[in-house]
Amino acid sequence: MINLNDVEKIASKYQYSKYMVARYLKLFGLEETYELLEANERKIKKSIRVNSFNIKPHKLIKRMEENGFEFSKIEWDKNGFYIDKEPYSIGATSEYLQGYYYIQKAASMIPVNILDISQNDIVLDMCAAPGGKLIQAADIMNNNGCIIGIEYDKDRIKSLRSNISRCGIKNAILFRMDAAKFPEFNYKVDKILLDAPCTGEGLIPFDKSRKKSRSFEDIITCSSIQIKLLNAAIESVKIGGIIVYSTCSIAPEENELVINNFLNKGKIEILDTGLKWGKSGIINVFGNAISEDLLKAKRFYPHKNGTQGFFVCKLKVVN
Amino acid sequence: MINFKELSNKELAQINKSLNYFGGLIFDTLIKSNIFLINTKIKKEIFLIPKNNYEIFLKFKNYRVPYYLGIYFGDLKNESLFFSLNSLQVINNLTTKKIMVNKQGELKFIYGKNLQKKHIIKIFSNFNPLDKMIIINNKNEVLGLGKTIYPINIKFNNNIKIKNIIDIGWYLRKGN
Repeated sequence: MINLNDVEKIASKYQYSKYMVARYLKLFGLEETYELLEANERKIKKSIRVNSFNIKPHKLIKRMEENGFEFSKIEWDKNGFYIDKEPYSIGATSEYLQGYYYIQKAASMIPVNILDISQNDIVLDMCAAPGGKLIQAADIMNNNGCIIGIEYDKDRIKSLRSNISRCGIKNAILFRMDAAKFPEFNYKVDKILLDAPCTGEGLIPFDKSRKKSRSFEDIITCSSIQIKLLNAAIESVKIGGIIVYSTCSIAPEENELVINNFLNKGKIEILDTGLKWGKSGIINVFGNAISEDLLKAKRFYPHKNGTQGFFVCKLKVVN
Repeated sequence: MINFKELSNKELAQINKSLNYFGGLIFDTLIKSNIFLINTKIKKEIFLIPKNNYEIFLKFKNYRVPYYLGIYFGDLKNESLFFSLNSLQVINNLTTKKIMVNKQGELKFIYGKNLQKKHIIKIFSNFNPLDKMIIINNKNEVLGLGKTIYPINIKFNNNIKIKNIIDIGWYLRKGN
């Protein structure tokens, strides 16, 4: 049971919607809720990922350090760097214009890294804009193979095009469409990235308006879209193919419960991510037990990992 | 409904001619492993796509028109190719039609400004008035495309004014 006084007090102190605080208290307990909300008040380090097919990471870092920038390594991506000192905007350097790096949040580098991409794979990126994960995949594929990028939003697909042009990506085919309709192509791919649209609850450190701008109904709406998209992903990958599902939300309804929905249908199994970072997925969601396999999913939090709130799960299609 | 299609012989000849200015072997080098496609939906946009991706494109084309594929190579206008930033990067190492600029020139150029003699470090070939050239920095990185007002020779002894046609600053000014 949660204490309603705690909900009132915490929601008022940190300026959150009460329903969010009540949920955090149920999921994490009082102490960790405070840790999370305190961490959401702090700045998250910006980060970049070097496009190693354009420039060797150490060369770029040396060049930028000569211009006053300072970096430190991101543990889970050999081409990923936190920006420790930014004398001027990281998005306005000559190196940025040359397409040598993409400004990408650290946790967002994880899904592509656990997708086991090979150079000649055909990869589907179901919600591709603004392009960070697509560009990262192209980098790992050394601009070979093929990445099919889907984006529905008219403005977001423009910025996707601009970003992949700037970075010199040549192995992508982009479609402006609803990714849930991809199975209509009747075309099976090797790997799928599904960074699903979500409430963005994990992005509060970057956007404080999200403390109040999303309702519980928004979580439910997002959840139904996510289920539709994951279903389309399962229909679109070869048997034995891999899907990495991720969101920047920490709501179980947008994460574990979406995956759990498919586990008892015998079509997918959850694979170990191989990551030594992040907390295990939640298997007791507000008092309801779900599949223990979801312990293999990973959750990232600002108070635990210094990243945005993030969820990632690696799936194999078995039937 | 299908906007992307292979180029006609006439269109290919126009591209070949435009590329030929930068170097006689560029066109043949490119079409060994790539295919040119044209999208005529709004203007004549030219795309260069690896052959294996073209086969994938063929599987989709009856269902839906792609928004973008391969690299955007430029626009075909008045029977010649208006080069994109990506196409300049593709041909940079295959041409001597280029001019290297110093740091001051680089900054000026990527802000959309024109270049003068004081910005030039190296001239790789002679140019006639209105000739185009790739502008590079001292690391051989493409900054964009310029057009000379006056004749330029390698010996550097002319008045130089290079007009900015397109530069990588576009990605900041208009790209996103």
